[in-house]
Amino acid sequence: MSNTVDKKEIEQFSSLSNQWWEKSGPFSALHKMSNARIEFIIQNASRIINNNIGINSLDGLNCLDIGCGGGILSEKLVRLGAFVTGIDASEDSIKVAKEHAEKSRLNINYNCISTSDLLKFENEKVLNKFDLVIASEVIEHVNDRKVFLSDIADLCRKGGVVVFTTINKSFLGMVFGKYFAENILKIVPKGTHNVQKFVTPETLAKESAEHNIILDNFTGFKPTFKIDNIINREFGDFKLTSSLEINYGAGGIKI
Amino acid sequence: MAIKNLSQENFHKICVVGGGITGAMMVLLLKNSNIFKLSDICWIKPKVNLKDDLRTTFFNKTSLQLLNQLNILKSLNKNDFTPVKKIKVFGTNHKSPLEWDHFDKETKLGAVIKNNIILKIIEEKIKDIKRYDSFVNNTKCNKFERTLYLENKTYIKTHLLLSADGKNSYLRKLLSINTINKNIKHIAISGFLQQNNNHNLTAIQAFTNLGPIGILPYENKNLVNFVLSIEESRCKKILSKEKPENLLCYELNKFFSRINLHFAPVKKINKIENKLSYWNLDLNIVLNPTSSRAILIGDAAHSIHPLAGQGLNLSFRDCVSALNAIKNSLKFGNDLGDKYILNFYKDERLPKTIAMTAFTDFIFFGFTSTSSKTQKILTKGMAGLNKTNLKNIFRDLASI
Repeated sequence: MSNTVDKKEIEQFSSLSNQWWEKSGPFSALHKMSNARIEFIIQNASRIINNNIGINSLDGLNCLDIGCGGGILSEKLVRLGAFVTGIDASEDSIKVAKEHAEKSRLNINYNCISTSDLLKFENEKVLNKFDLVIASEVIEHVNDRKVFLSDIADLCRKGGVVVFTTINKSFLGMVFGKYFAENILKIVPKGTHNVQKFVTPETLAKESAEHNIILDNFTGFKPTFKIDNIINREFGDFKLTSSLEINYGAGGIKI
Repeated sequence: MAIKNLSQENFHKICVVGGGITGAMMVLLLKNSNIFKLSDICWIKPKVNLKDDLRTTFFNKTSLQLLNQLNILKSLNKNDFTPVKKIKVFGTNHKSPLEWDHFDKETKLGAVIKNNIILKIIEEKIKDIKRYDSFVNNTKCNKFERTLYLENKTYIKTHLLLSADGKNSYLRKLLSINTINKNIKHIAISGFLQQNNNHNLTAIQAFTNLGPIGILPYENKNLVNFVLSIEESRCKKILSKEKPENLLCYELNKFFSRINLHFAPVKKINKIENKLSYWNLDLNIVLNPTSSRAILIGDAAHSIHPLAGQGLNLSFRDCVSALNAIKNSLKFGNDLGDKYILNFYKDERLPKTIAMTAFTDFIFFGFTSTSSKTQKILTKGMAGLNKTNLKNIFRDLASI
């Protein structure tokens, strides 16, 4: 595997892989963010697809879900009409994703591979081929962000859309995204995040631009709280917000 | 569309159970939504002989709009559609009935149509949907799908079950969904009567000595359809008579003599036979009409007293809400069994169902009360209401 993959992180995700689809389990935050993430992805995909209203809003798009884990996002993308390739460096996670998709009667091309190896071994099939490349809650886990961004630029076709979602390297991002989530609410397993790898929207935009990815759409994600959420010490579903202080999404075009 | 069914055999993404109008309407709405391929939908419609189904329904304005959108009204013959332009409600002391009038020549408060005519038109529109002519014997659910085991030994796998199998819903029992049951010990009798003068497209609601009755104008200018709710033991006595319709008319004529309204049993006119149909009024309400990958719609989720004629109207709203819940969830790419769909449906329907149930219960228990005090209060209340616009709350409530 290439140097974008952090072995230690992959081991942690592999150890939790049988819990990907437990909605109250260690990946509950991802489940609760998923509708908002999809809303943001559709918003960005609307640049390249005309008929994006309704349930087939990604109809026919060739989509790459990087760091797909157990397939939480990939399954939604395929239901929205996209042709989805889901890749992840954890073999255990890919196994879970494949099983889940089969039982859900969904057709998704899952592959246990890093972005660099995908370009290396399946170059003809994937170079500049994807209409939509998504790295959701992934960039804060990769070893070498510059290589990772370069890989994404190579995978996305010219004029295609790139979407990131991640945690801001801000004071609030570190407090809530790391310490509060891991130690107080315990909705994310301890040690999931390393604040050193967090990135600000400005830095992400600057580094992406160096690889011809022009990020121009930024949106925050904020959790909602209902009475039963407070009683159960958990977040409600996430919604889009203008504040980028904690979780945010960045979308743009590869030129 | 990239969604691929790995096995088409007896798998349908969405499965509607129940052969009545509600089930058929649900199938039609799903088909017309363009969300699903035809093969994604199936309809479990056991063969039941409803040859003598004489029931008619007062479709309120909202339901008429829905029937119009679905091009159902266009398919009706002129005589199948009787508009209602006036509603009169008579209390026990009927000197001052509550009255709702149409606003102008074009406005209708609703219309009366025979149930089996609507059902036939809908069935024709959904004849390309896969049908299974059998009863559901059992059902099981795992994380990914629900399996329905049919009496004819076939089984169907589905992502979402929409059950419209009536007030005595067997699926409700199989799904262990709790109901609040109200045994009011009344029987509903329905049929057609002749009225001595032109009904003038007026619907009548009256609280007679026999019990509450709804009288709907139908087709000919002096033909009406009625639903009467009578206390069980009294009803059995009436039905044991050789010509129970004569006795019913006698009692009604006593009640309406002061306004010179007279009823007689109907003779064979326009293929409408002189037959009475009757059924037990087991009323119930379900607070949570959902279970894993399952939603109850129509009478399976609520059977209310027929006195306000709102049961089927409420069921149509269920169908629309269920479809909205599905649409809203699928736009996020969610699985059809996602809790978002179940919660959306439950949250949207429950307040309206409870409001309608409370309204009909209040009317039923109030006007069938033997307490003279209650009767006095209701009579005075009706007289007061009639002078104000407050009465329109009831009309508006009937359109939810």
